[in-house]
Amino acid sequence: MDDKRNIDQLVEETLNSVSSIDAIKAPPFFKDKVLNRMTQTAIEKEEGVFILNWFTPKIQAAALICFVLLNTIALLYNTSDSYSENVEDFAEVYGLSETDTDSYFNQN
Amino acid sequence: MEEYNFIEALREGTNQAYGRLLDDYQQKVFNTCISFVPNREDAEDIAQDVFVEVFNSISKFEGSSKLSTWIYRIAVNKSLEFIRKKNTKKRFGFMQSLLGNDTPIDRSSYFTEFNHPGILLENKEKNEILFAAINKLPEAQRIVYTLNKIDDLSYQEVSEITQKSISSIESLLFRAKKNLQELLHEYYKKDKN
Repeated sequence: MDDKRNIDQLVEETLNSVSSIDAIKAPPFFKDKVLNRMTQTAIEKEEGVFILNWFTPKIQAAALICFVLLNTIALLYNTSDSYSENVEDFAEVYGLSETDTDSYFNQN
Repeated sequence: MEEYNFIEALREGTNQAYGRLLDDYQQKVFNTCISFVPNREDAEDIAQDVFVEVFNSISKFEGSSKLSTWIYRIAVNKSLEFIRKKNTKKRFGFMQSLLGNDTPIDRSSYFTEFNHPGILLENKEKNEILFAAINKLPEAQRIVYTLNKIDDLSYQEVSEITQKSISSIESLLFRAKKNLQELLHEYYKKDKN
């Protein structure tokens, strides 16, 4: 019984200990540190914008058109007859093409 | 009108405006942070992050609440973010989250070193036990208990910050106190054995 009363008292004292906490002042130079961080953040934001400053919408559009044109040309070039010629050349160089002299089964 | 002009000056990013902001709020923000995270160095880092967040996000502040309420909300969120990160880093804290927080108070697994300059040495031990118990509360109860009992904010202020009704605040405080009593009772019972 005494133990329980003791524990209850300890619990109440622990809960009431919160009233003994005092408000404290901000640490020294806190304001200066924060203002420096804000200035640094602002500089980093500006530098980020500066790097891509020259890449205006007009230049972006021109770059996009060039990119599309180059891809179209490359696509057209690859779909022409020269494709099969290239494949045959490749096969011959690496011994992958079938000819009469090369095939074992075609020998008379 | 004055607050409106002040917010406009903050949006422009003038040094004068932020200087005034820090003069007005640094103490309140720091005390809120240290109420959640009772370590001087950690609380200072979090408080700095709060003001930097204000600086970065002022353009998004719509003015639907008071500026002070908004700043307090950022302070609470930054503090809780810190606690979550630190609690999940400790393996024991991770196990607790799996087991659903029904493990007893263990001061050695507290997420930071207890170092609150506003607490006298003679009260340190009891406060340390109390903060360890608060760390076991569900988040909603923890927020309300910390803001009202430790940071000494009124029910009205807590209601504005948490966007809950006053009756919800009262209910959360009642449940928090009951949970703390049970946790502390278990702790002292084990301690005696």
